[in-house]
Amino acid sequence: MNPLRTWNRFWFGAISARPLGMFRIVFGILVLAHLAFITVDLDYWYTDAGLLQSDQARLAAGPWRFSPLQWVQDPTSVRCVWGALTAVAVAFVLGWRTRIMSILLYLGLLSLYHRNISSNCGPDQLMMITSFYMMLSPCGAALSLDARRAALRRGTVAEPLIIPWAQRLLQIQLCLIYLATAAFKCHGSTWLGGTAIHHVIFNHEVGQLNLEWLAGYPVVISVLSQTALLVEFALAFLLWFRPTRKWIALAGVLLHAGIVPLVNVPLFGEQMAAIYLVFLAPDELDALLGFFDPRRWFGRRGTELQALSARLDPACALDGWRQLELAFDAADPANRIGQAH
Amino acid sequence: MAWRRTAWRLAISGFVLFHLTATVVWNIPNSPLRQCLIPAFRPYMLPLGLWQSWWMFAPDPMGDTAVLESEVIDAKGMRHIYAFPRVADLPWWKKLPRFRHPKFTCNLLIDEYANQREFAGRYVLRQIGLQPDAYPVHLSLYCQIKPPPPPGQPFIDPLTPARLHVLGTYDFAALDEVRP
Repeated sequence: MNPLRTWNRFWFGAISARPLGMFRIVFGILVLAHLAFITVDLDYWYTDAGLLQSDQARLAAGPWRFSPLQWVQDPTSVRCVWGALTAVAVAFVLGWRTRIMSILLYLGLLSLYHRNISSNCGPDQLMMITSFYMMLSPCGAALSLDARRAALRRGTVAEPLIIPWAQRLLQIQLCLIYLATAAFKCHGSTWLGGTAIHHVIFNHEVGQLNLEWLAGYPVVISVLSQTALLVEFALAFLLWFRPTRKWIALAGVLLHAGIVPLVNVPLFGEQMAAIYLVFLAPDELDALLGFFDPRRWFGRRGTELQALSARLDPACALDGWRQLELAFDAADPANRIGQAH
Repeated sequence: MAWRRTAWRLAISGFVLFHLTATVVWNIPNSPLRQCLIPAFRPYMLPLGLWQSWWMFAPDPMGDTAVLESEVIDAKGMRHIYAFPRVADLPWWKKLPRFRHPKFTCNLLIDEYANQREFAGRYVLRQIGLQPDAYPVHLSLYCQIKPPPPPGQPFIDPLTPARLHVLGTYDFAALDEVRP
């Protein structure tokens, strides 16, 4: 295995743009949800009518975290920024002038982020980091108005391919989050000891629903705590491999769905689960979309399989269009694609 | 134009290596290596909003319920109590967008946020709306902390008193200090 070739194939081998395009839509909707949530306490957290006045936001942010909203912080101006950012997020979801919109989205989110250091937490951090990667990636190459316009100009509806280096960074970031949080949890005693969730359900300010009754079942608490830790470790590695991907993604979705009634941290689990989309190969994405298509629930299975196989790209596709079977492909030349050039 | 493609790939590869190193350094547990490298990456990670920590519920989740309050004693000796917004008793749909309030309380418990404790104190005085002749005032910012029951016990004894954790005490000589 030539490491340079593997490096090139991993970061620069063209892949389908559709998984990233689908993620762009979901991520944009989550950004809109985030913007809707912050309207509830907009003045309190983001304007000088709230917690921080004058230069306090600047002092709280420190010298490295700049935001124009640390200077312009009257409620009217902040509402204008919020409105403009919402419009940008809508355009981003639709994929209209996506490159420009992704830059504006990142800058807008960054302005809000650095204005409110006091209460930023996981969902904000993840949204900020993801928007940075989206700005760097060609996320409007598929499932967007830009892609439609390009296809009309080109005269074909061929599936667009992209160079995935920014998408790879997003994938690695997700795995790093799971790995870091699982490793940190092993430093304590409650996760490995199986009592962590007991503590979570009695934190009434952070908790979502009252699940104190669950504390009467310590075996269930233990299974849930240790399973969560195991799944987080597994998510850091098993999303990369096609045979394990859908099962570990399902486990991840269940993990985050299980956290929803326990902890009030909206949009964190949703974002994490949405990033699984960028691990999918195009046929896996089609299968997933088909699963959520009500017309297919009542259709004949034979037709579904035929439609799925018809979507598989031919062997002449560019190197690396499959998401990630790099090491395996190199070891098994018969399984390699894109040998023609 | 093969040289252009090669140059582009080299540039991107350099950026990718730099960015990944910065991200990994930011995420490794505190160690001499991290302390040595963090200053080098701070000018990159902080301005771009890429700083991150995934310590939520790690190494152990915070089981204590912390409620932020403040006590103000004005020049006339009058005592005023201000309670910051609480979400525990709200229905879930009202609680959902207000998740920042408990996060703010948790952040104030960390020494890194010490300067924001004083800002929170100034906010309290603005909310109480004391007249200029009520100054100077003495302000105490504290958390009322209720620990969880031991594992296996499904309820908190309601008679267990909350523990007071004082975050800071401040003296403000005049209204100008509160409304800059």
